[in-house]
Amino acid sequence: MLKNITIGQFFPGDSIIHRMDPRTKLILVFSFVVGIFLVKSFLGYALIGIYIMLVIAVCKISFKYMLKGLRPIFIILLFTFVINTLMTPGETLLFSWRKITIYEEGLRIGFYFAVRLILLVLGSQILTLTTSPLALTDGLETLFKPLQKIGLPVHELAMMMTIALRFIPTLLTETDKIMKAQMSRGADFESGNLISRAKSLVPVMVPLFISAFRRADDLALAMEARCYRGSEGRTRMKKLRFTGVDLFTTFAFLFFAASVAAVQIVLG
Amino acid sequence: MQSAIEKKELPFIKFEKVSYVYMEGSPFETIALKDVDLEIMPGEFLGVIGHTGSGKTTLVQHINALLKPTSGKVIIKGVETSTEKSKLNALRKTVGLVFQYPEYQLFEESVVKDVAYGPKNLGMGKEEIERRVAAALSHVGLDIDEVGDKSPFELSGGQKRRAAFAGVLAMEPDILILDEPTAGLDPKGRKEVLELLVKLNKEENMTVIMISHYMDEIAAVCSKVLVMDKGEVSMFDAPREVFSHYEELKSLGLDVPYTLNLVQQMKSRGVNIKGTPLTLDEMYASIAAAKEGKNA
Repeated sequence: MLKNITIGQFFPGDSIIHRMDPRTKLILVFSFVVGIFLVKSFLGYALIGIYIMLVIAVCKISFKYMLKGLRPIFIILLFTFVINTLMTPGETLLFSWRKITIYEEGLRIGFYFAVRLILLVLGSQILTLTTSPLALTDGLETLFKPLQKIGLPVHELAMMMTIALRFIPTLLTETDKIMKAQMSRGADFESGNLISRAKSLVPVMVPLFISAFRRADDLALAMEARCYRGSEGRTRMKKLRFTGVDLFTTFAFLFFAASVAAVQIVLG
Repeated sequence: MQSAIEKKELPFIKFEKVSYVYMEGSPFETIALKDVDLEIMPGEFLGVIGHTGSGKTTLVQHINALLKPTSGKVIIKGVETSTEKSKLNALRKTVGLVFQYPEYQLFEESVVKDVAYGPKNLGMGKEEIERRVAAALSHVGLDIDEVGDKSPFELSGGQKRRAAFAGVLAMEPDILILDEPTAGLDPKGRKEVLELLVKLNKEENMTVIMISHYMDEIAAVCSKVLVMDKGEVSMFDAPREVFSHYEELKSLGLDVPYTLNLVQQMKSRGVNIKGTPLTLDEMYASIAAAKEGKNA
């Protein structure tokens, strides 16, 4: 019942995108996220949409699967659209009923925001779907390394993130198992009001926390047994390396960005 | 005559062409059960064996409707499980399911309260709950005066497991399912668990279904054995019949009881030994017969 969460789940593969250095991917996605807020034309968004579909095709991830990732943000999407549409004052009145007024400008802004959010999620999903959590945190750690000079424990933070990511699926499976076990003892998690539902989760949360603490204990022991001492003097088995793939994809990205910018300038 | 009796007694549990697919439609789609047909009679002690990932756990979770078939029907005592919600409680009253490492599901502040969780959910009265808790704890050999008010987390490993068993037994099910009930227990604990199950099967007339990786346990206590392979029923027969398929079981990554391994070893060294002994006594008899045959 909890197995249908796909957002941020790594999807193994061997495409160009999969083989990119995580640092390149992180930088490109970051630029993408910033860039998307600079685009202000319908054609620009359409172009970005086409490019994203192109990249998804290259990743060999089914489009349907990508769209599933949008499901959790559906409410936010709807909310953004409705609020922006209703609250933006403009000149061209399209619809008016009592206190509800919709202007063309509002509709456009609401639409832009919704499209931006969709593209944002789809674009960043490409990163999380094609990069293993380990590679991702490795990439983040190296990118943030300079901050160590001002006393930020970059390695420790990255390690914490790795561990947290590593245990999300484990805890989900565990939750599923405990819920099933309590359900076979007649527990009911679905009916009743909010308070009784929250109460019914106690038999799930207590065992879950206990097992999480037990796992944390075991993990700490196993790490110590293998002489883990934090970042100092720690070397890597797999060093991150930029390759031709990174060069190629960066140029492709720059080309995409330039074409969107050109469309924007010419038509805007 | 035989068939007339069989017809009169309806199967407790019936699987009709049951298939189950995990994460259907996603790239992680896996077929866990494929066209499973199965009939389990009341009073049976069924052992379920199979390689890891062969669909054993998925199969048993269908029996109390924790999972519902993607296609096909599961019928428990004449009631199909994929019907509306109101009947689920009745079904869970009928079918008790003990998960792997059940002690990790204890949560209450005292053993008595934890065991009472099930009957309470079923809406029993206070007196009935008390009676059931006392009965369940005495079944599993825990002294209610000694451990009843203790926190379940203060108990030893074996005691925790038994307290968790009691939590399911307090539901007083007709069908008891256990997923590797002896995993991680010491030999003494294992023996106690098996004795308890045999007692429940014989004296309380409970239908017991047990998943296990210990072939000796299966051979010792089960009246029937179900072998699962890649989501399909590979064999479903009396233990002696199933375990006589030595090569086939080995090819499925399974084993046979130690007595049969011994028979196989003796055969490969030229001893003319016959039969499929499942217990030590039968093993003695087989060896004695082989010895006599040699002397004659």
